[in-house]
Amino acid sequence: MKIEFDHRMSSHCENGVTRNLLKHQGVDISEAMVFGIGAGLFFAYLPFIKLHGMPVFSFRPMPGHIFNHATKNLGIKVQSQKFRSPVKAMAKLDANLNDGIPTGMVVGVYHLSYFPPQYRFHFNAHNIVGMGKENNQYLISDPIMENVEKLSYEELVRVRFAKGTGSPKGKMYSIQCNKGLTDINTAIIKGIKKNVTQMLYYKGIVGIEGIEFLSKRIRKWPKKYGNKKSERFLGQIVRMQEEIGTGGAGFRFLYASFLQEAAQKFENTQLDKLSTDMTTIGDMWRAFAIDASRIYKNRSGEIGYNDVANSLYEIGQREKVLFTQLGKIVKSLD
Amino acid sequence: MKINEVPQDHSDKFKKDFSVIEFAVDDEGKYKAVKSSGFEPKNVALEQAWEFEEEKMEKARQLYLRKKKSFIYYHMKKNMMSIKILSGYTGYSWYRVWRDCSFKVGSKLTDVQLETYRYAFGYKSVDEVKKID
Repeated sequence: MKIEFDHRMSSHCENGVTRNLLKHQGVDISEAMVFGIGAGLFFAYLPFIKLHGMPVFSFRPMPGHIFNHATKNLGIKVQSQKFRSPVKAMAKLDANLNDGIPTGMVVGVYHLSYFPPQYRFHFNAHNIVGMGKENNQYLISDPIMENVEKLSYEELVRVRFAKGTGSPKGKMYSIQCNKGLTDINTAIIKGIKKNVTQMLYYKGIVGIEGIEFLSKRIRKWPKKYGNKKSERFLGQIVRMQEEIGTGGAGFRFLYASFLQEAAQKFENTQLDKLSTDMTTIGDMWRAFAIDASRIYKNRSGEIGYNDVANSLYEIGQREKVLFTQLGKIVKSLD
Repeated sequence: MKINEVPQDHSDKFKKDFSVIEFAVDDEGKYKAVKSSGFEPKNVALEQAWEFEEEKMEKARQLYLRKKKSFIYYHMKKNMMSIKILSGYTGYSWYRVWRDCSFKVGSKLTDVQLETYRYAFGYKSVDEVKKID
């Protein structure tokens, strides 16, 4: 059977899945809106977690954060489950599909056969939606692919039970009704508040303090790790920043888009101004990526680690100002 | 970022074209979703990450040829796995995987034992595990 499901592309897998699942329940909001309500803007530098032997730089919150917060702030109940047994996990998925419930799943990317080969690393926080089963092939709506894709039973088991950092353990989730939907304006305020908290008030390696911390550490890298390793680390930042699923600059533009929509909803010109500021910050992230790439392409000329660290620090300060203003505006709206 | 500034840099290394959605401002300052086929700094970083993986693979091949490590070790590196990941897929303890990576133990594994590794690597037949290209 095939569930009537509106498959649409998006710039980030979790936003896309959440938007598509909400749309299926009759809640029609844009991707940027989902991102904003789900408080998706984030930064973390986790030197102690290693992915392919490199520290993790995260421009997204923990997997599941956007979905959970977006649905919670909208007042929608969700069903989510993890499994130990692959057989039970697949049986539950089949049951859901039989009942006509499109089901979101967390999967690992490495064994995903339709994925472009250049992106197939052991990254275990990709989101897809199962939207039907035809001739023992599961129909998969993957928001970063243009068309509906197909996976066999074995392939799906393998990706759902992928191993490595942050193994998904067959996690699946669904939205079965939209009862108790709160007003979208309240949801927006809640989402912004949460986002302000996680950027401004989280300490240490997360949020704006995380950006400052990373900028401090970048200055020490060449001495501590040597040139080759630090170049690789810089490359990793840029990859994490620009890759689908993690997006840094991309997420800043997405958030700017959200602020613009919010400004229209509240008819607030201040929010509009902040949206423009956010665009500038996104452009600064892009400039940072270009500078960093000069270093790891060995065409640096005069640009050194200190300059990159400086521009990162500057970005951190700009974001601090922006989120402080945003916090004040939201307080006045409430 | 304006719509006409959205980077459209193709990478020569990767054959399959793949575009992602980016958000950009149009002339009136409104945000729109635009397709982008790549951003040059990212492409370079991605290419370098792959070169790094290939380097590791080449090292593993040399170790096999010098009879230091087994083909299990080579395929582990080829699939960009660590001992932890491979032990997760096989269900073996990390100690056993580490031991199977040594040339002495690894080359004595039977087909039945290799079957588990075949599944972990996602290959079609056991012969592929024994083969080194």
